[in-house]
Amino acid sequence: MKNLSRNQPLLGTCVEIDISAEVAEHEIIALSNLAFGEIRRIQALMSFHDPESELSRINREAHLHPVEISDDMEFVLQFARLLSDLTKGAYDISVVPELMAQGGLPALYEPHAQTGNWRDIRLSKGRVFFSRELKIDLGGIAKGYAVDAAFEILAVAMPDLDKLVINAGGDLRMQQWHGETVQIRSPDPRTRGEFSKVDMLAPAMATSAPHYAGNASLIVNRQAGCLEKSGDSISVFAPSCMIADTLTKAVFLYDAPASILARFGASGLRLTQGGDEMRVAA
Amino acid sequence: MNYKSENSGINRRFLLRGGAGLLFAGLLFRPKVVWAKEYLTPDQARKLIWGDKAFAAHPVTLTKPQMKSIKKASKTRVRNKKLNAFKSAENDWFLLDQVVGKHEFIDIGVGIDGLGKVKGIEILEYRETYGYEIANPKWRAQFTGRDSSEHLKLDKQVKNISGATLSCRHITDAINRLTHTWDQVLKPL
Repeated sequence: MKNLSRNQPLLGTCVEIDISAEVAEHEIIALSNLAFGEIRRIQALMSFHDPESELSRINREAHLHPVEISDDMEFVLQFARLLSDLTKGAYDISVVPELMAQGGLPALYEPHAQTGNWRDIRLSKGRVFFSRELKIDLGGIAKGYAVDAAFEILAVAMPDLDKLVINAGGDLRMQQWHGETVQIRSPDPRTRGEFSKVDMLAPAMATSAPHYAGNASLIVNRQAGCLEKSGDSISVFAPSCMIADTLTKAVFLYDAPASILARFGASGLRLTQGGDEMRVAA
Repeated sequence: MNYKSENSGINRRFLLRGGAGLLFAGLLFRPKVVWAKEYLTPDQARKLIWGDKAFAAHPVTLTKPQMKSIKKASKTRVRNKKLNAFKSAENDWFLLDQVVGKHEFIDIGVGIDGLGKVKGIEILEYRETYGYEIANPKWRAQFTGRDSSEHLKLDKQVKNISGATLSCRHITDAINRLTHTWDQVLKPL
């Protein structure tokens, strides 16, 4: 069996790919290259920071005219819109003015009094149109989607891998997840180096903690008009990494998270700064 | 050329510096490696970036004005005047570098081609180090049967880590510093 473990700085974090397969060395390298290439492709589409990305073009033009978008973008925007609908707007990818004001995103756009929200994102026949001026950020969804995309491209290229784990800074997906464990970091900055070991409950999981890494993980609660202030972390186990990634935010922001988790076949775990583990339940 | 020994040279220097700090800080401040994971040897990283192309060691020592100028251009501190560099006949470079964050120490290998374009970045080893005593009994209890002060190796005991996203800003800064180093120092070599 050949094992290969690589780690590259992508998606604003460190992306780790572990592969084991009964193949020649050059083949396992080619598989890892394929996965990193797919992650780079998604990054090039969905980066807020890159003025050349598809997302940046949408942010510049979609309030002026319908913008043709990739299948990947359409899928991600459809899911974001569905989750906004289900959470009555608690989850909203249009919180860019708040994130720019707080330093969570670079101030690429003029500060604007944005009146639009997720309801103004109109999707139709491979195009997106904003019915009011709007800027969107995919920071809480694209990483999970990129992990899924890379995972699925490898699953097609080599269906009988002995092991496959893709971990994008804590948003992770595994091929053989039954009986596996995962180590969740303490959400307390003072004990950041400590881990809580829990069983893997689904193929994918992700963790968010608003207080964890300074501005990088701000969660905006637009309805309350403030930043999420909880010192806890939320981990979500889900069938896909995109679902896990987005639902961590929905659990923080929506007051009935258990119903949302159940709808997507997901489950949630809250870790408090004191080290308590609590299932997210109704 | 023995790449491994070059690399462990970096680590030793780093550990020696950390050791000196330890003596001064005394017993209240005990840095420890919380976890570490080795991904690739320098040799493996070079092959992933450059294939079988032949490289020879080409160590470079930066002068003080060069360090100052690179710092100004990249807006990033230049910690080490010695560049652990390898060069091909076609003027391609492979650079070994260490990225130092608040808690993380990351060894990276970077390929830069003859036009100054980054050809590839591989993380060779990732370590996280913390300098506090773990005060919270509940977090301690999760390390059942294990002394929290012992050095943990990720591959055996701490794997599949999740937590809110770690930033790779320090790596991005290091790549920026290295491309400016190429532009100002390596390009004419």
